[in-house]
Amino acid sequence: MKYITQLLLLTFCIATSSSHATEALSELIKSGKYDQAREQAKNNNKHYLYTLIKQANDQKLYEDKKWHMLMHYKSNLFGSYTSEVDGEDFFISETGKNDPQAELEATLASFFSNQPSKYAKLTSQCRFIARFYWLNQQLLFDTKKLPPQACPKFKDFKKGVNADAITMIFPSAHPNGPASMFGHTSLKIDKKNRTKKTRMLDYTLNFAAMAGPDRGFSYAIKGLTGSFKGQYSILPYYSKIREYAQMESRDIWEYTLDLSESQIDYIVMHAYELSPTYYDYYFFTENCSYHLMTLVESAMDSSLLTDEFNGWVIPVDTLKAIDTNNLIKKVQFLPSLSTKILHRRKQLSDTENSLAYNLLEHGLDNYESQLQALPVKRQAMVLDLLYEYMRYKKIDDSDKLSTGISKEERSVLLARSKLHIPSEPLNIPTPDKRPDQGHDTSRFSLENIKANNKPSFQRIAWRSAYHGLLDSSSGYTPNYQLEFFNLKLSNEENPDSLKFDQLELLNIISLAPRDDLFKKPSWKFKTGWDRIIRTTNESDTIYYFDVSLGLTYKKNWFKHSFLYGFLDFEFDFDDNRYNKPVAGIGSTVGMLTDVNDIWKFQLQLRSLTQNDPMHSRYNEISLSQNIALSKNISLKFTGKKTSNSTTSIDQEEINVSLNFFH
Amino acid sequence: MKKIVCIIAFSSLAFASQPAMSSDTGPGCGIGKHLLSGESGIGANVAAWFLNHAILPQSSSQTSGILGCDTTKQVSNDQQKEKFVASNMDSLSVDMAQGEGDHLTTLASLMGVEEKDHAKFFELTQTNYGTIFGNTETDADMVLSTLNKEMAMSPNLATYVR
Repeated sequence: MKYITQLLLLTFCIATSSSHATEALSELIKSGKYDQAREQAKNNNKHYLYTLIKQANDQKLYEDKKWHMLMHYKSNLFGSYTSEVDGEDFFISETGKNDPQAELEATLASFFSNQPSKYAKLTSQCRFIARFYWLNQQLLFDTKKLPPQACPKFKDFKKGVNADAITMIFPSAHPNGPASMFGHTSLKIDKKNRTKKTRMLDYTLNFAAMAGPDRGFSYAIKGLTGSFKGQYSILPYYSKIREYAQMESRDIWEYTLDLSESQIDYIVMHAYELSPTYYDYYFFTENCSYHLMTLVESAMDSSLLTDEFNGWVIPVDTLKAIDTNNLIKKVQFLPSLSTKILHRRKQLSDTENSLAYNLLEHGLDNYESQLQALPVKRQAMVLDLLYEYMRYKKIDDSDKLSTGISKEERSVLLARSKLHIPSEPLNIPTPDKRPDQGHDTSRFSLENIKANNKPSFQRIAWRSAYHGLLDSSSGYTPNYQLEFFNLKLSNEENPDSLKFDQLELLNIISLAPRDDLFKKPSWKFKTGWDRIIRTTNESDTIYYFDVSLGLTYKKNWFKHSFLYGFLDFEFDFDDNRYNKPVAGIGSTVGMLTDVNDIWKFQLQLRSLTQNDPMHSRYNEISLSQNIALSKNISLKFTGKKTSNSTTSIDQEEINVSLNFFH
Repeated sequence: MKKIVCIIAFSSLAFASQPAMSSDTGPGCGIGKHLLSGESGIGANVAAWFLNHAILPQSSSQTSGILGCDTTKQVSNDQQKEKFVASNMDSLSVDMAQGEGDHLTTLASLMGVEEKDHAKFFELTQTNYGTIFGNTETDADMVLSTLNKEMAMSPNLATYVR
């Protein structure tokens, strides 16, 4: 009997202590101490958390690729993991950024809480919608023991975006802003039941650096070192169209992704849980395009996308990657303001075009009779062009685009409304080649060079990114060059050994065609290190820094031609030879022509005077031609003649190179 | 040293234009708010502003919108029509004067005008352009109320007035 009493007492004690422990555990969860809760749960098989953690660990969910994608874990050299997300609000465990298992266990613990977190006014279930969804799929939560919460805010969000498809938005590259030199990408959540015209009501997800007042140098440094915070923002597409197509005059490409309904839902859930947090932003690696790719990737069953990106992430490369993975369902083109203007001009005669320009310059009143002499339909076309001129000028002059209309604009529009006929839709054709169909962005070249009186020598070169003026224009802006990190080695001095020849860090050329309306200057910039052979046994490595400012005119010769002229300022730093920099001033004129889709040529004359002790003067004439043999292979010929008027030494050089894009 | 000067000069040159900015930097965000979470009232707001703008380095707008700021609040169907008109006054003005366009089509769909009546809607806005955009001071509310008045008088479009 005594024995039985003891046994009963013991059972009771165990039961109470276990119920005490369960209460204590619930208290830990309630107060948000999830790390302590998960540790205690492992010793308390009465709590459902024990079962869930055990199940999850038995299944090794913390090693699951999907869990890593949801948490944005990347493995590092020693096999451990770190999440790329930098906002502490994103992690439930104290060690969550570096510990996938602790984070998973703590996440499970937090799902029992109906207390809002200290960051967002949301419970863990409602804050981390995709995580809950996925873990529920894996562990099949018992709804009695872990009741699902209603999450009305997420439901509103889901209803608001009303997702039917996901589209990747690519506003094309644009030379006059560091954030857009390589182009940019954002995601659009396409609404159900929308048409081509009403798609501007879709929401876009943008990942951007939260750059505030920083400008110039500090902006550049912060962008390179990850000192900016990058965050997603959600905006209606009409405001992005306004920004890209109108303000910045960049054509927009829309790549609708081929995803299943459940994948689309998944992206919406994951975007919702990512949007309040942040990442450290790096211009070249962890940038807008990279993080949008990781977001899309989270909906895939395996990582299709970001594993391909080591080093640089160039927006157009992400488009190529979605193409490689057969993820492109449909592509649409949205022309920019300047593309529209150029198209409207083509529809008008020369007289009508000059009338539109005169109306812009001298006002409606002075040219009213000329305008009214035209048929009503042509009047409408002239006024439609005139309004776009006014808008372009407004943006150009003020660098912003307010939503208001000026008195002048109103009187033009009033006159237009009185014509009482609708404008014909513009129907601007989509360019033949899409940006993802252009050549790949890295280039490897083999060159053979023959200079006068010398045996020929070879050079190999590798350029990291992105497009050169003579590279095939298909899919690229033909009058814009952006070359980044171009390393050249040659055997010029000794046929049997390769030596450093040149390292060009950056080489930008922007040929902006001018006319009565478009007045942006053309400019060039290049910098790097170059080895100059002085005599047979003597060579110097110099650092150079060249800037040019100029003008470009576009002609319709062949496919199209650009005529340009530049004033050049060059600075060479040759510490071994001179104790001050060698400054040079010169000029360049030339013509760049797309003969057809595969053949380009460039003819250029250049002269330069340097203030070195000899006051060297150079004149140079060069002719280059590039023939695209396929999308990623091209053959280039360059002939150059340089004369030095100080030393009277002429040099002729012929360079043949085979280029592989990869 | 000269090289460094040059690199700096270049960087300022090439990076001088407007950087990408977040468009939803509402008030009451940033680290200051984060540190003072749970506090409310003018005192706390002033303190949050002070933390954001004066004490924490580079936090004035760089960190706005981060930590506890709700970017998803952009997504809502309430007052979408009003917001759309206010954000696109100039484009709507052009489309109305020209009697067609994507912005005007979108407005028609936001107002519930069925596709078969779009041409009528476009015609009405073109005819009444001078009234709808009465002067350069016209705002979104005025545009919508004039539009509703004109539509109420049209036999085909009166049904869409709410």
